[in-house]
Amino acid sequence: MEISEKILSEEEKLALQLREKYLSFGYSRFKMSRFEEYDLYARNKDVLISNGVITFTDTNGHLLALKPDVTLSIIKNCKDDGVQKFCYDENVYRISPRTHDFQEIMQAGLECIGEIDEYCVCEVVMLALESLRCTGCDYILDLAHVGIADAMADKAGLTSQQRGEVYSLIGQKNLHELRERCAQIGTDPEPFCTLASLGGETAQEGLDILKQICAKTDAGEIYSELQKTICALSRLGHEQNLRLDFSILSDMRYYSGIVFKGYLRGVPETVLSGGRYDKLLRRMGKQAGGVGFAVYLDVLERLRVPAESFDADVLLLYRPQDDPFEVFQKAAELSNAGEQVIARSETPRDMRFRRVVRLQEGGRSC
Amino acid sequence: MLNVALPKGRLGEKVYDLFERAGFDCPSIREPNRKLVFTNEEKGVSYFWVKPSDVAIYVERGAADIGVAGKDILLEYGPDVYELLDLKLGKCEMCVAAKKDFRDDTSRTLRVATKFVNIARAHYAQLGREIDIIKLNGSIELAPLLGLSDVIVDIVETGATLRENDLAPIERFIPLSARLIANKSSYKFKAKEIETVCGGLKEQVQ
Repeated sequence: MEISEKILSEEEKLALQLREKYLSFGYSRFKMSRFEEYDLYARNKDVLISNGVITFTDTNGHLLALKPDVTLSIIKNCKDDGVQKFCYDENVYRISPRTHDFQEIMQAGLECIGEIDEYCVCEVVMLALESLRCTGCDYILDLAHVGIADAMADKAGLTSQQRGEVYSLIGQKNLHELRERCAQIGTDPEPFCTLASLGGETAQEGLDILKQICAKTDAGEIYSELQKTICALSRLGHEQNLRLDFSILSDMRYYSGIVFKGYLRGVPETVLSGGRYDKLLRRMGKQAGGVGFAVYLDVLERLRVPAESFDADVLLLYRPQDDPFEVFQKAAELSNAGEQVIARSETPRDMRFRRVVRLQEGGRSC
Repeated sequence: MLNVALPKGRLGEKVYDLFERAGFDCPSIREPNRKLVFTNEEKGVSYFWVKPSDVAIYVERGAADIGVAGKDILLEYGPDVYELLDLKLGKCEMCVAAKKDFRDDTSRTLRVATKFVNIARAHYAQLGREIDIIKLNGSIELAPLLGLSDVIVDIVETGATLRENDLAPIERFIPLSARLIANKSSYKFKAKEIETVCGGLKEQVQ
């Protein structure tokens, strides 16, 4: 039986498109249980986007959680062997930072874990860009590298707390307070202000600006890595959609290398988020690197075309004395012709139809 | 076209003056009428007035690309927006105030009345002081006078209200003013327009 695309919502269609794309690049589908032992999240609280986790006790007295995150579960299940690639589309449960209530979030994404080389990183970022392109909307992917910001913070001798404050101000593109805070710390604000200001130009233009401040730190090698990735992605046709923007660093605590966030015109929030997370893997006892991303499909609801003006194509009106066989036969005939049909004995109030078909004597219609 | 959320009231009028001087005028906004949205196609701006505490919500949710909100609102609600410029308007301070004869008894939990629960909580957490927060929505100065709280955490501009009620600021801990904020996603797609407005305002502020 063939299934018509008509019955799928835009988010469902996109989830299937993304799954097809990820599978075609050799990512295996990872189907997870909806529940996970709470302990995994308690040990890695700083990794979670929201602190709240829905917990419950199972029939054996174990404390379980409704999954708030997918990456941790995938890491837990991967082996220390070569490069493993997984993709998923799952629902996760988190506290919304806006409403402070739990939310079910439909999420698709992929993880590449193992001996990560430059190609692996490029492939993942490329697939992130392709995922945004699949939405059919104008898109931007912001890229940054944690290593560059860390090299500048190291050179300035920032403590861990000062680093957090400075990154947070970079995250707000808040140059006025960044200057004030750097003056209080006693460090030159300009490199950090330059990082905060990047974003309005293409990534290639951004690289030229970044080069000057990287020359004054020990971040030369990291800069070359970033440059190589950006050049490859630009050559693959995404130049106009790539930006270097270090404001994305502020809430990406567990990443350790390249990080990225995706935006769509018309959607006011981030729709994609990802990066390299080698530190997290080491903390979880894995001798491997990891890079991946998630696409938040629920926020794409905002892109839906306005609701249909009709509740169904056809209202099939029958009389109470009509033979149910004949009513169903007529409804099936209309449905098989590709029309959505609602059969009722009375015209329903508050519903609109493109046309009305009345069943008459002997199953005929008019 | 940039959608701009302006805070209603005296501060909002000063803010609009600033936009006008920066070259982003919209004459219809000065006309006496009941319109809610004012657009100048030629300048590429569309203004609307909203309650000052709602500006950040309009911007965070993308109904406005940019807006002007008080630093107090940004600190209290922590919206996920860019804070692009200090407009240096509506300058005041977040203060702890109490009755003039107040003596802090550090052996007791401090009762703090405020509208700014998150700011007060963060301030005392930094000091390691245990507090009992009393959330009020207005007339905060009344709380210590009637014994509802030991101190208040509130915005102080000139201090006249405090003085008239026998209260005094005992700690001024955050300087506040109006800030230009931008929606993060809007900034990605309208960076040039937003930067042009920001640059124009910056020239007026300095």
